[in-house]
Amino acid sequence: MYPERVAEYKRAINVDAAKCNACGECIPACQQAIAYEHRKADPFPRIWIQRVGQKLQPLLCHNCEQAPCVSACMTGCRHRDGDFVTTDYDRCVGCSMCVMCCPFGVIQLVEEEKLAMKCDGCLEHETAPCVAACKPGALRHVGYLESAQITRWDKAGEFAFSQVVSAGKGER
Amino acid sequence: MRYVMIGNSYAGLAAAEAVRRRDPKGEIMVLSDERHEAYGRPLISYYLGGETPPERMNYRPAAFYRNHRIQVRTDSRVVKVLPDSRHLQLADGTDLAYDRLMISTGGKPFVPPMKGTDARGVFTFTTWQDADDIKEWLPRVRDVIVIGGGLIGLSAADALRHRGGVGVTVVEMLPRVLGLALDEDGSNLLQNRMVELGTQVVTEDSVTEIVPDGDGVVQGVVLKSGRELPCQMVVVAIGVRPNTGFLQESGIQINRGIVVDERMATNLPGVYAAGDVAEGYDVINADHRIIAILPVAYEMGLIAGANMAGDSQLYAGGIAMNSMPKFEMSVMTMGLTLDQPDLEAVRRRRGDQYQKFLFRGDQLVGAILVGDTTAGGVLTALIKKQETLTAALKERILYGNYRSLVAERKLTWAKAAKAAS
Ligand SMILES: Cc1cc2nc3c(=O)[nH]c(=O)nc-3n(C[C@H](O)[C@H](O)[C@H](O)COP(=O)(O)OP(=O)(O)OC[C@H]3O[C@@H](n4cnc5c(N)ncnc54)[C@H](O)[C@@H]3O)c2cc1C
Ligand code: SF4
Ligand code: SF4
Repeated sequence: MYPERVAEYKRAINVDAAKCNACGECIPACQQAIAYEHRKADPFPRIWIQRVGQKLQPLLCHNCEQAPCVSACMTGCRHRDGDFVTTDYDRCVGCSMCVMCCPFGVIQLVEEEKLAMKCDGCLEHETAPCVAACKPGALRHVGYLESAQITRWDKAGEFAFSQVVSAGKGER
Repeated sequence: MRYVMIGNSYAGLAAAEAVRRRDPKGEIMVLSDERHEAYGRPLISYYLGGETPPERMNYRPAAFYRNHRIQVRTDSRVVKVLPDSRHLQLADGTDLAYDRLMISTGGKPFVPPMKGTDARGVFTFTTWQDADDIKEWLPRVRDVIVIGGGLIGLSAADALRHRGGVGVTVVEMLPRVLGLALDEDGSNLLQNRMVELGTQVVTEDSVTEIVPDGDGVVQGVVLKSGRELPCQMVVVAIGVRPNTGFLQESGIQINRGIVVDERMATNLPGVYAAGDVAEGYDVINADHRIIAILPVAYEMGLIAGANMAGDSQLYAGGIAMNSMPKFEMSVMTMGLTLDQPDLEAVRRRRGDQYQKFLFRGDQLVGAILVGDTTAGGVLTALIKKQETLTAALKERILYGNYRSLVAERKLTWAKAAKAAS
């Protein structure tokens, strides 16, 4: 939608779990930002705060380099758009092939609408609303070329194992 | 360098994309024997059902072909491959040269030898054209027999149900629908739902003859049990076979599908194969076989394309899986799903919800999710990775919160990263 502007920012949403204090501010911010994409259902958040023992871990889409959800998308509506994996919800049919293939479990099927939704980066905002809402700084924009990113991709590959992690390198 | 891809679908286009990333100059040509530009093949069921309009069928936007400089030739059937001179022959007599060739011709529907398959009103269901042909015939139809209760048969049956106006009966030879992917419990749930929604299911029986009337139009079928069912349309969906007929004299090695190595190379120099036509590595069964699903086709295509362009990429293998939100019921199956003596099966049932997990020792090798399929991909990843699970992790899987597994994993990484820095 605003590829030029965002391409300039080259920003991704990075998670520093240690800073998360479960205030939950990101969740309504997310719901509000993506509400317009829902036709019937109340907006589902596309970020989850998961508790593991004493620790907290916000979960959202990683924009995997060779994204399993893109490989699995039967309509082609989920696709790589520059640095991001974004979705054309007009074409999504809710087949859930992507849900079955996302190793991070961050795609939400909205059954009433037959749509499978995930964080698409809120590229139309200079600062993603969840990032703006996160006071402790657990969610943060980073330059896309930061090394943290690379680690993240590599980790994505580790978890996804047989996804072809390096086959997509170069298209950026 | 001239790259030719036979097949304008998931595998062929993934390869074209992968080539273009590495070779900005090479000439890429994609051939298809269909009339349409590339479309989401499984979408034909949504299209027939009236859920997806024709303008939303395209798999890639027109700009994709321009940006990637991919030349597409539709309506161009390849009839022969001449590997010695690196040439192809098209049905219209055209001769095409290639430097690197990709065979991604997918499957073609298998129609069993029986009486009456040439009657008017008998269709298969694997192409957009098939869906159009069915649509055109429908006005004269009251009852439809779908032969085959597998993925494609159920896709057709669900589309016709969704569209409405006709009675649909699925005839399945096995004791249950989706018999190769679903176990008894899962299949029962689905079958009950089908019946609830008005679709008839006949199991442990098969069609032995299609009966035409005096004008050669189908008027019924005869079943093995002797039953006769009237119908004005038959959809044959008992399976697909790899589309390799045109390769017979090429010297290419074919088992069930085309034999490929982990680079997706065939035995012929410069010739690669991927998708439903090729036998890629199956992680769970530890052998090569056809896994006819689109994520596998796409990923094999990426690997083939990379190697065609001179890169060196190895395919780590795939697993059988599927997601079928048909008959208003979400069903996911990944890896092994049927009981085996060497596997430990754990089932959970609550109303219309059903989960089954199959473990081989401390590895998860398969799962069925019916109803709630949330975050099912986490299980897919665990199955593919063949990870050794601790007792606690196993417990967590059974508990059903797959996202917590991811969270835990990520916290571990963060700790490791901190320790390393
Ligand atoms: C109704 C239906 C529902 C499905 N549902 C699912 C699903 O839910 N999930 C899933 O993962 N998979 C599903 N599948 C399977 C999925 O569609 C295939 O796995 C996938 O399309 C395979 O891609 P491919 O690129 O290997 O070949 P195909 O998509 O089969 O494409 C083959 C291409 O080769 C071309 N071709 C063939 N022969 C020649 C020739 N001689 N000359 C020139 N061109 C030729 C064809 O025109 C076509 O472009 C479904 C299939 C059908 C039919
Ligand atoms: S596979 Fe999951 S994490 Fe990766 S890009 Fe797709 S939705 Fe995001
Ligand atoms: S649910 Fe939507 S985004 Fe996911 S694979 Fe199906 S069409 Fe693509």
